[in-house]
Amino acid sequence: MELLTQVVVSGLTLGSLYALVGLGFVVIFRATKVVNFAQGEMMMLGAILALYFYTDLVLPYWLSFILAVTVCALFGAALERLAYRPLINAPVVTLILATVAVGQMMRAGVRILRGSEVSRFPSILPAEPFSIAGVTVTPLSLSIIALAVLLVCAFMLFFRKTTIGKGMEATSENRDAATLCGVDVHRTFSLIWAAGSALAAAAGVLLAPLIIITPDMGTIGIKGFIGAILGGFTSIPGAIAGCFLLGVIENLGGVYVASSMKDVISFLMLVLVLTIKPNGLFVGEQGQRA
Amino acid sequence: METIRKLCLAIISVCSALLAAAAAQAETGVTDSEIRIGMWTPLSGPVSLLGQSARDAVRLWAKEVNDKGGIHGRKINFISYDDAASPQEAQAVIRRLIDQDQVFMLISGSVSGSTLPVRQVITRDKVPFVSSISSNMNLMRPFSRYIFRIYANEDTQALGMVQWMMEREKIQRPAIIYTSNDYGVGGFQVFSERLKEKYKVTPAAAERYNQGDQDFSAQLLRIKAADPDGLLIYAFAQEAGIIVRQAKELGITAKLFGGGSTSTPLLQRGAGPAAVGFTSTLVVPDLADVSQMPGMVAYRDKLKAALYPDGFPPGRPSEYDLAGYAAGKVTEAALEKVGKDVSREAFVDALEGVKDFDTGVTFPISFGKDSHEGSRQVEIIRVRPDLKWESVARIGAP
Repeated sequence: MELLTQVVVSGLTLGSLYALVGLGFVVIFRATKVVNFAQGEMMMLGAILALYFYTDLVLPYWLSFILAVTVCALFGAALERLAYRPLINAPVVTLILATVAVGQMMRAGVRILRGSEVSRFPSILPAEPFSIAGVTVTPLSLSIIALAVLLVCAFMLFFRKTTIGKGMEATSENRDAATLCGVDVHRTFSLIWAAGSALAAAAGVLLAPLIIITPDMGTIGIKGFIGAILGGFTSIPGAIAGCFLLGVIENLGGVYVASSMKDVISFLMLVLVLTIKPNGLFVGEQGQRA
Repeated sequence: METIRKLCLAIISVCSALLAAAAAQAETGVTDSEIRIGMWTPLSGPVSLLGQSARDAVRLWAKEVNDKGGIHGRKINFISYDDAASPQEAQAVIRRLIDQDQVFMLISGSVSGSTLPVRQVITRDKVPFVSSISSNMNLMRPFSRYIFRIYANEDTQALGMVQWMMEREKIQRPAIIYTSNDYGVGGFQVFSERLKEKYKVTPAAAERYNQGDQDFSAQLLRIKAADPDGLLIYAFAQEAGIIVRQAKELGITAKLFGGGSTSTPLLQRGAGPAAVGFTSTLVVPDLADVSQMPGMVAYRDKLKAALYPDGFPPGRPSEYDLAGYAAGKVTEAALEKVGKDVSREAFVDALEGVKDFDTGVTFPISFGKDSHEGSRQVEIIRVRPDLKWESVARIGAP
């Protein structure tokens, strides 16, 4: 029983990592219908920038965090202007390919600048494990779970309560109608890409102490993508729940079936869900938004 | 029409003259004034550190040889290409080196993944190859007269580590976590077979993961449930770094050991303080970046003066520097011995005659007619509390 609880708790930690990345995918997708495959790379960039501000320039942690997120948000908006806006009338698939290309360029760019350097982000919270009811946890992993939940709530409020958020929602529902209602679509798109990139950067900074910083650390992004599909790509809470579920399933499968089957099990689960409930587990039949 | 016919004839005659000249030449890649030596290696991509180390080392060696007037009056013409650790790229550049550049021999080579696919071509074309990166067993399976290796292969490294775990650390319940590629599976096989045959023990746990994974909690939880007192992490350094940290975070108290790929500073950079006490094997006698062995100090000084006056890039010099440099030194010794009249066959014979050759930066190298494995020694190293590696012991020919 202790093992089971431990497996679930570790799965939730893993799920919180996926959730942070998955959230960025969903935010951009909801508004633009584009799956941004450079999300993982933006996350990597956020982590590297924060590391630079924190360890090289010796700035305080909070300032490094804010700076990294801001730079990535600006970079995201710039990418929208330079790479994606010219393609605004192209088929969505072209845009998706453009994000793949941008992601590759970012990875290669980082590799040129930093080589294949491996860095560890110093943890601001202790990573020393302690036990609650036989389950080993660290303050670091607990705080990541908490922060993931917090960020999700913040973004849901942003979409529902603020004018900019509502504008984004409107743009994603019907671009022409939104324009007629006075929503500046170009500005909204810039904001969305900036928000998505900021989210990815925040995820990167939070994740960094749990994994390692390399040009390839963005590959974890694909798990966030899968988790989001599992839960429902159009719904923020659905996607987040899916990501947590994916983390738990991976761990359960890995421990109770075979560790080498971990990925097989989660992909099988994905295929099953897509066959039975194509909109995702936590989204209604019509693909309603939360 | 007539003009075209004349032109064709002219081209054909020029070509025949060139071919005749080539035939008259003593050996491919050798002229009176130079010997062409080729390298394909990863200079870009995730494992570029290995290739850049090897390329710099051979370049430095070639410069030294040329500065003192070459070998029997012939200077080294060193040609290197990037294969980005891709098997396809490796195939392409090997063809270019052998057919177009017509090199006399190949040096260093690439990571196992893009060295093994070209070993057949190398053997078929009878091009001597002194390897200093791949530690994969299959480089020598089946045995090739033309392929030589500078340092202990991965089986020797794994055997050395098992011996250390069982005999010196007195591990009772060993466990292993390994990556699901050739490297990891090979390490697992050596580990479990050796435990069974020599120590009559079965692993308490054996878990595998896929390369590129960033979370290992499922595997580590299974390992924790098996309650081992020693865990061998047969993984590449980046992944091993995360595994070490997650093992500590999950409360695993077993002593941690690593396969040969973990003996780089990258491990501590990923693992942080959790790495303290982690033990690994090194295929050279000391740590390239800090060693006070005279040969290594001299190498660092020369490399710095020649290529990095402003300081070394992170992770350099590495053991691949040392192995690459040693490959150059062994090549030089064999070419000196062959004399003025160079041929590939004579060069291979000379290499097979190398006995206890001291390169100053690696273990002594010996080759024979039946064995092209240059060394069977490994150094046991451990992470100190200040997160630097330290040498602990030397294990020979396990």
